[in-house]
Formats: sequence, structure tokens, C-alpha cells
Amino acid sequence: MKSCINILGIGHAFPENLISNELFFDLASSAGNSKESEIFQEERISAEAARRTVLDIDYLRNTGNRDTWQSVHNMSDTPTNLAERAARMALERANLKPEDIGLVIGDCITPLETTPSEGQRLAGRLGLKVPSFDLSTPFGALALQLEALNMISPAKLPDYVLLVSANTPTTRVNYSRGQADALYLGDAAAAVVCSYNQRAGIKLKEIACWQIEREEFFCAPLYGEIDFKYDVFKKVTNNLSSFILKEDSSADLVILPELFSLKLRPLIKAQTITTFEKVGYSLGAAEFIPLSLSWQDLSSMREIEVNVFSGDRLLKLKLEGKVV
Amino acid sequence: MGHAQPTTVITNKFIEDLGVGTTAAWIEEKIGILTRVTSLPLEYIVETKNSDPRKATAVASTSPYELGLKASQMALERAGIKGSEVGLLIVNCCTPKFIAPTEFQKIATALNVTGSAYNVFTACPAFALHLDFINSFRRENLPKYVLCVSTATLTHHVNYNDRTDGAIWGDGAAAWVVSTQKNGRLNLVYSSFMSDPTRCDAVVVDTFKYFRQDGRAVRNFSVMQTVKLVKQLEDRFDINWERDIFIGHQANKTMLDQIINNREIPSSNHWYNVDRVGNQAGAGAPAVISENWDKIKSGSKIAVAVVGAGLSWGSALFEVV
Repeated sequence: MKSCINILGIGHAFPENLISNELFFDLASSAGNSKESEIFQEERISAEAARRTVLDIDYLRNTGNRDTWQSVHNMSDTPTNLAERAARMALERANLKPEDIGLVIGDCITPLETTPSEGQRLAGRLGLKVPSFDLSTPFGALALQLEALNMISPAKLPDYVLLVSANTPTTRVNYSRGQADALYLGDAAAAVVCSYNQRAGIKLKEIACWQIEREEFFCAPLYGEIDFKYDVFKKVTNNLSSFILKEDSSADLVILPELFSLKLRPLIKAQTITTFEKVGYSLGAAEFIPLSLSWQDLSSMREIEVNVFSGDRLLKLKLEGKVV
Repeated sequence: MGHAQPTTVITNKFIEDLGVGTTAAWIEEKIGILTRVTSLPLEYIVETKNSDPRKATAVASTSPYELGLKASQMALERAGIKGSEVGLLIVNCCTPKFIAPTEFQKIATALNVTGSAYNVFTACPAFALHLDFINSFRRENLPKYVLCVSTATLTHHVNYNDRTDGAIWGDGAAAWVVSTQKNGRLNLVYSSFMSDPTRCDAVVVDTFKYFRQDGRAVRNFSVMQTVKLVKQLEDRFDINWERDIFIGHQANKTMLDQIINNREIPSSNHWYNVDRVGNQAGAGAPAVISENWDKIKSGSKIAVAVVGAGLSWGSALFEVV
């Protein structure tokens, strides 16, 4: 589907605390018969890899977050704090103030409060009295928000819209089990300021999507711990490979679905960047973190391709860098 | 449209007998609710007062997903379509039990929905938000059928030691199938959605603990904002309260009575269910329409005004075909 959305600014935020590989193996060693070393080798995770977490590191060392319920009392940052920092960065890059925003759409599936919505919490932090709600999903939320925005009549939209995704999945990981989810997941937020009417920034030219078979590899009750089915995850990775390989990308920069980026990266020729090994997979924000980190360079690029896994679809966002 | 609710009933006498400092008479006088429905066993409430909300999920007879699914099945049957014909599923759930797969993913899988699915969430005014959200799409971008669901089990987040919260909430779900390509019994004439997030802390559901609200401020907001919404509909459209129906947010009956008195809406044309099922959050108002599905009269209008967490509010006006 063609798009007329202009992306005026992208921002990101992640917590300061890092779960290094060393810490991961220390925490996993109590699990005994675990597969963490195998997964580490198979996923080609580098020795320098780390994941961002809102969890206090001392708490993590002492407990492994065995009782994930206790995470809420041992956090040095929150989803809404991350969302606010990402949003303010996006606004600054868009050269806008919060009061310029006419609509806020949020995403957080690891909230400290299930009500109000994350969009409303963020809008409240920014002092806004505008329509705000959440459009959320475990995977690819920011891309789905852009897709929904693209389907809305421009006449129904304000000049500037703020989209945000902020998640803290590490709070639901039991690190003493030494499972794959502990290697992959990280906490972060990303925000996008966009507009139909105001031509600036980079242009979202097109959103394409392919249906893929829905496989439940990531299961997490709200009050329990994540169950990451590594064998099913490998199957999904193979499914995605066939879609990624369908056509050679002519883009100057390709962002791959972050969760699968290490395995998919060797398959493509185009330049690609990933922050998976610096941040971990942060659910809805993930693919927009490398975009935000590359913000200064994007406007000089002819085409940027962002591939986003959304659970049962692969979305391909084609962006065009524009000189403002 | 469809609705679903658990079968366990909490009476005012039950709450009085919990010994938390309230009486059946006080509850009926102040909030006008006589019974509410819950998925929690009554013995569990008596024994624990729900002191650890985590345990509520384990003992509950049903879940937001199961309620949402039942409501969806009713709505699909009334619409005469199968789940596989739904091109977009959007769900509002303020008491999710899963990070993944979420309630919307589970409903989509159970109904064989192959189109897009995601949460569109604002808690109580979800009916207005969903309609306004869909109404803002370019027609060519909408699939033939959209299924909207609002579901919650708020009794799981009630502190039954609190003398008011236990009297308010009920569990339940509602669903509605909308289309821009096929005529139905209700024609959406107007929708609106707005919010004031600077006041978003007034109504909170803590993920790990309880619901809490600034009761007085929220009550005043609810009445005033609903009256404003109704007046806006009256000013813009030909509404005749002798013929047309009003449905407000199903928060409490005494508030609704204040609103209908202010707008001079005869009680015969004021539909509600809060006195029987409690405040079902976003499911409340649409469940009222669903419960009265066989009573809606051609030629009349149904005006819905809903308010709630966020703080957010919205309205919808239907012509009955």
C-alpha cells in the first residue's frame, strides 16, 4: 500500500543497566541442565553482546528475577519514563514542541498499570489534552501503528501525530532458568513523530506485508514468566528467511526483524544495521531503535527498508530519505 | 452485537456480610447497583477478600479471553458471518491475563480470523473509540467486516476490604461487527472520541494490585462530560427522547439517573444494565444494546455516551434501520 506519511523525527530510549553475557551465564549456572551454551553458539551471539534492563542489577544477581512479580519493586526505570524520553527526542528532532501534537498512540504490553493506556500516560506527561489511546501488540507495534495511520483519512488526522512503543520484557524473564528468552529480550522505547500534511524528514513511501504462519514461540502470562519455545522460534526464523530472500533489496540500508537479525543478516547483500546485541529485543520498538540511532544519516539515503515481524505478518516499510 | 458474562452473582447482602463497613441499603441508595456478576468464586472472596489479585486468575471460572470469545460468537451469529470473514479484529481489555499470546491473538485464533488483529485500548469508552477509529479509515482501506471486542474481569482487581470498590465492578464482554459494505440493523450516523490525559491518574488499574480512583472527581467528570456529550448530539441531530434511546456508561445507576433527569430523558427510553451486572468497563454500554437487540425499533435512534479512564470520553449515534 502506498503511503503519504512523513516521518519528522524518531527517538529512542533505553535503561542504563546492562545484562552482559557474563552475568547471563552466572545467573543461568544455577539452572543446571540448561541449553544456554548451545543457543548462544547456534544464534551466533557475540562475546560483547548485552541487553538493556530496567531491573536493578544487584536484585538480578541475588534472585535471578525468579519471582517475576518482585520485579515491580526492583526497577530503576519504567516503561513510561522510557516512552517520555524517546518521545522528547523524536519531538526535538522534528523541531516540534509537545503542544504541537494532536494525537498520541501508544503501546506497552508490560505495563505497571493496565489502565490508563500507555498513550494516555505519555500524553499526560507531555501535558497534552488530545485524543490518546493504545494500539498495541506483542510484536511490531510501531509498524502497525504506522500502517493504521496510513489507512486513516488525512482529513481526520491532526497536523502532527506521536506514536510510541515502550516495553520492559526483562521484568518477566526468570534469569535463573538459563533459557533463550533471557538471551534475546531487552527493554527500550522508540517514538515516531509523523505527519500527512507537513513535508519534512523522511517519507514513508510504501507499506507491504506478507502473511506468515502464526507460531506461538513466545508465551507469557501477565503474572508469570516468559516461556520461549526455542525450537518453534527456529522454525519461524526459517519461515522469515524465505520471505527476506524473495527479492534482492536495492535499498541503501535494510533493517531486519530485530529478533531474527543475527540469523538473517548473512542472507542479504545490502547494508544492514542491528542493535540487537546492544539492546536486546524490545518488542514493538525494536526495529526503530537502529533507525533512531542512524537518524542523522537517514535524510541522505535514497531508500531505507525496514522489515518488521508482527506475529503473523512480515511488514516491509519503504522509507525515502529527503533533504529537509 | 454480542455480550457475555459469568454466572456468579454478588448481591448487596453478600457485600454487607463481608463486614467491610457498608450496608446493602447504602449501596442501593448511593450507586443504584443491586447485583453484579463475577468470575470469582464467592467462597474465595469471603476467605481472602482478594488480598492477592494474582491468585484471582487461578481460581476464576472464566477469563477475559473466554468472555470476549463468547461475545464475539454471538455477534458473528447475529451478523450471519463466520470468523474467517473478519478482516480486522480490534480488542479492548483493561485486565489482560497475557503478554503473549494476548487476548486478541487468542480470539483471532479461536475464530479463525486471518486478517489483522491488535489491541485498540482506552478502557471504559472503548465502544466510542473503536467506532470512531474505524469511522476515520478511508473506506477503501477497510475490510468488509470488522470485529470489535471489549472484555475485562475487573472483579479480579477489587480489594474486597474496601467498602465501595467491591460494590462497583462486574466482569463481562461485548462485541460488535461493523461493515461499510453491508447494511445492518444499526447505521452509525456519528462518532466521537476525545481525552484529557493530564488527568489520567484519576482512574488506575494496577497490573499487580488493585483498581483505584479519585471517586469524587471521577463522578463529577462522568456526569458533566456525559451531559455535554448528550447535549452535543441533541444540538446536531434530530433527537426525540419520546422515541429515541439513551445509553450511558454503565458506571453506576444514580449517576445515570442524574444524567437522564438533566436531559429530561424518560426512564422508559433509558436503557441500562449496571444495576444487575455492575460496571463492566468498556463492555457496559455495548452489552446493553446487545441485551436489547430484539427490542430496537426501526425509525428510532440510539444515542450512546461513554466516559472513563484516560480520562477519555466519546459518543455514538445510531439510526435503527
